[in-house]
Amino acid sequence: MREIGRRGLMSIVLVVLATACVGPSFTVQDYRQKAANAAEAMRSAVETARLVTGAAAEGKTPGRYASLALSEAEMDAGSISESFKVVQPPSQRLQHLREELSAVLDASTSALASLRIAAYRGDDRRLSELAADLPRLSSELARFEHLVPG
Amino acid sequence: MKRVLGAALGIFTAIGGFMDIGDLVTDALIGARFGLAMVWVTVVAVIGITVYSEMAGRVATITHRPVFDLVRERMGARLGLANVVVSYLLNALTLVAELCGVALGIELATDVHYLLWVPLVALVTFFVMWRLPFKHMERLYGLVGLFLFVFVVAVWQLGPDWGAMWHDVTHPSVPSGEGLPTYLFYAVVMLGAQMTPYEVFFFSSGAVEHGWTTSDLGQARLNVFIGYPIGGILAIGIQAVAALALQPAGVQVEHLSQSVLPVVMAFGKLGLACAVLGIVAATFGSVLETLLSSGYTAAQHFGWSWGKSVAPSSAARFSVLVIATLIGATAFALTTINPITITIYAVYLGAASLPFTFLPILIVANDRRYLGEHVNGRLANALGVVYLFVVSAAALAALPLLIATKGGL
Repeated sequence: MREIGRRGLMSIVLVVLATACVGPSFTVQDYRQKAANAAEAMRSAVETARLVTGAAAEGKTPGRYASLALSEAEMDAGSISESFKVVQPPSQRLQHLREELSAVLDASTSALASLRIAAYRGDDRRLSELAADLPRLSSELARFEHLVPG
Repeated sequence: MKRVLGAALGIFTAIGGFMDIGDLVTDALIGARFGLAMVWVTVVAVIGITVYSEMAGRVATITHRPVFDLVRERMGARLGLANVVVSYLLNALTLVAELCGVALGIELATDVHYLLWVPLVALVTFFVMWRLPFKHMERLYGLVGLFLFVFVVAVWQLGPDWGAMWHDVTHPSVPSGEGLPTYLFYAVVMLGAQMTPYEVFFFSSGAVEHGWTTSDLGQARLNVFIGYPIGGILAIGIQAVAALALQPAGVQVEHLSQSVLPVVMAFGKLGLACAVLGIVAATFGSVLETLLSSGYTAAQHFGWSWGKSVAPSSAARFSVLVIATLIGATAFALTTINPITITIYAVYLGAASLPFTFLPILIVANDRRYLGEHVNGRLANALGVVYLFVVSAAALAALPLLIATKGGL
C-alpha cells in the first residue's frame, strides 16, 4: 500500500516536472506557437518600457524606479530571446522565421539595454530619444503574435 | 468615543491585514491579463473568508481556545497532525514569499537588489516580534497599509469608461486569445490569494491573544464583516488599474515594478511613494502574521504554551519554532529562487489546502459542547457548506488545471 502511495507521488512529481520543461519543437505548429509566445512576451517588455519612459518624460517617475523597471524589462528580454533561440526549428522552411524573429528580439533587447543605461545615468533627453523607437519594435513584434490563430 | 475609535482601528487593521504579496501580484497579473473578468472571484473569495474567519473568531472568543487546539481534541491526534503539517509548511512557504515581498517593496524605492534587504527585513521582524506589543504591532501595519488605497483612487485618475467597466464586471467572459482552462487556473490562483488559510489561523489566535470575551463578539464581527469587504474593494482597485493601464498595452505582469506602474502613471512620484509605503506595510504585516501562524499551528496542536503576549521563557518551544522558521525562510529566500514564482505557487497550494482548514472549523463551530448557544445558525451553516464545496472543487481542479495549462501559460 505504501509502495503504491510512493509510486503515485512519484508519478505526480514527474508529470509536473515534465510540464515545467521546455522541450524541442517537433511540429510546425508547435514551433510557430513558441515563436508567437516569445513575440508576445517580448512585446510585454517593450510596452512596459514604453509606459515607463512615457511617465518619465512627464516627470512622473523617480530615476531609481525607472532604472529598476527598465533593468527588469531588459532581463526579461534577454531571457525570452535566449529561450527562443535555443529551440531547433523542425524544418528548413521555419529557419527563415527563426532568423527574422531573432533579429527583432535582439533589437528589442539591445534597445532596452540602452534605455536602462540612460535611466541609470539620469539622462532624460537620451531616454526620450531612445524611447522613440519602441512603438516600431512593438508593431514588429505584434506581427509575429498572429502566427497562430488566437 | 473610545469604543468607536477602537472599533474603527480594528476595522482598519483588518483592511490592511487583508492584503499581502499574493494579492498584490495576482490582482495586477490577472487585471492586466483578464481585465475585470475575475472580479466575481474576488467577491466569492471575500464572502468565503469572511464567513470562516467569523466562525473561527467566534470559536476562539467563546472557548478561549484557538482552532487547532480544538481540532486535535475533536478530530483526533492523527488527523490533526496531518492538518498541522500541511498548514505549517504552507505558512512557511507563504512567509518566504512575504519576506521577499517586503524586500521587493523596498527595492522599488531604492533600486538596491531585494536580496540585500531580505536579511535586514528578517532582523526587523525579529525585533518587532519581541519588542512591540501585539495590539500595537497589528495597528502599525494595518494603518500604514491603508496607503494602498492609492490604487483605488488611481482608478478615477486614469479616467475610465465606467459603463464599459460595469459591463465587464457584470458580464465576465474569457478574453480572446485565452483558453477556458487558463481562465479557470487563474480563478483558482485568485481564490488562493484572497482566501489565505493563515488569515483564519491568525484571526482565531489573535482573539485569544487579545483576551476577547463574549462581549467582544460584536467587535470581532465588525472587523471581518466590514474590514474584509473593504479589503476586497482594494483588491478590485488593483485589478482595475491594471486593466486600464496595462491590458491595452499587452503588458504581462511579472514584477512588482509593473504592478505599481498604473499608480505612477496616475499620480507620479507621490503615488509611487504611497504605493511603496502601503506595499511594505501590508507585506510586513503578512510576514508577522504568517510567522506567528507557523508557531501557532504547531504549538496549539501539541499543547505547548504559546503566544506573542507570553514571555519567550514561558513559551520556549513556541519561541524556538518561530525563530527557526524565520531563519529557515530567510535562508530559502536567499537561494535566489524567483520570489514571484514562490508567491504564485504559495497561493496555488493555499487554494488546494483550503478544505483542510475549513472542514474542522465548520465541525467545531457546530459543536454545542464548545459553543453552547453560539453555535452556527442556519445562514452560517448554509454558507459554510456551500463554501466547503467551492473550495473542495477548486482543490480537486487545481492539479489538472496546472498540468493542462502548463502553469497558466
